[in-house]
Amino acid sequence: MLLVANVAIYLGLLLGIIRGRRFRLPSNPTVEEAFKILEKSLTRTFPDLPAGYTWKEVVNRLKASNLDLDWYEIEDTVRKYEEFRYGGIDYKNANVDAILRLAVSLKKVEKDARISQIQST
Amino acid sequence: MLAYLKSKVLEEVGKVVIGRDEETTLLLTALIARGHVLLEGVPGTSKTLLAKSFSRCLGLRFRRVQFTPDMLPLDIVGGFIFNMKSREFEFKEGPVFTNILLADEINRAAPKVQSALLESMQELQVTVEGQTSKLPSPFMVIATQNPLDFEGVYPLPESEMDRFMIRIEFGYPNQNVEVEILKRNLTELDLDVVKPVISNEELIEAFKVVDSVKASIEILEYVSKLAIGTRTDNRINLGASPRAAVQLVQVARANAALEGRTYVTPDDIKKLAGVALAHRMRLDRSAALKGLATNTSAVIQQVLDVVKPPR
Repeated sequence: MLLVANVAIYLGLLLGIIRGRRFRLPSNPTVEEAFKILEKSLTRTFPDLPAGYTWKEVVNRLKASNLDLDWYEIEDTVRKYEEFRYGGIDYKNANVDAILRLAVSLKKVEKDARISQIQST
Repeated sequence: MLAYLKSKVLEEVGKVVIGRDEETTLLLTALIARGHVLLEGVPGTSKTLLAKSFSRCLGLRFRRVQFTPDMLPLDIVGGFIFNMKSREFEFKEGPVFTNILLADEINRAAPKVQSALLESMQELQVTVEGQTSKLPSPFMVIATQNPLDFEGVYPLPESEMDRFMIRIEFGYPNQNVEVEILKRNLTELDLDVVKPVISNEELIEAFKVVDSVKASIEILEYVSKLAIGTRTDNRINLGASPRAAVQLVQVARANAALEGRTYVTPDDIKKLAGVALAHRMRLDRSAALKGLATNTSAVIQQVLDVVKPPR
């Protein structure tokens, strides 16, 4: 009985470490890396999200959620990223942290969704 | 500059047309993209009124042609008429020789008359009996048509449909807007209140701004994937043509310019894909009968959902 409990605890710890490493944020990500992280986070949180989404659509939808974030900052960063991405304009003072904070906050959305799913069943 | 132009046009048109800001903006977008527009809707939904008031605020030469079943191509493009004095045939220009041509109820005329506009819309010229004449610049056709299930209409040929940069569908107004329309119509509508607010020079400048808008290679690849997506969909008989893709990019550039940007984003493409592609596509009959798709716009929306834009 004790052995089984031990295995379960250590397995849980091990899985936690692996998961933590998988979603560990790079120390000094570029704007492109930050958006890649956001993309991964979105795919994990919303597996049904259609592949054809754009950043503006995603930000507009997430704004309606209860995430306590600086949306002005996020929208400004998206705009600067688009200027760089599609307009070839160098981005200056792009706030990478705003995008990373959004990516991390999606975990909360994922957790809340799981809780509400359990409660509904 | 273009944002200011847009607000001026919306203000002028809004003096007589209520609740059609979106449609007016689309008309302006197509104009600065140098495209032609098809307005489609049931009678009495202010298609012609919008086209007329829009043309008035441009300050350009404007002609209106009411299409009827007994029309001939020369009623549009013109033809050679014998001059009794000079005892020679002279070319008499038809109403197509203008800047803005309002082709009212275009699908009431027979297909050969509708096709008379093909050359003028694509090549901005008219050829009659081997003589080619250039049309004035800018040249824009604003055509109106009733839905195809109405009596006495001929569907436009595919080649003609493909020449319209966008199609704007006119639905019924909501109740608030309808009450406003009723209020405004208590007194006689006077189109003279619409003043020309865009000069020819401003329009030429707007064309230059649109031409300077960048569409990156990734955006072009995205548009190409969308066009291929419409062609390979089993529910579609006739997908978006390369011309459709070209015009979608062009109208997206105009949209970006109106929003004050110097580059096209996937949002521009997604916003305009429906109005730029749906009218050129044909649903497969068996797919429609099986209920797999109701219209081409719905198919485009599904293609937009599936194709990953550059991010």
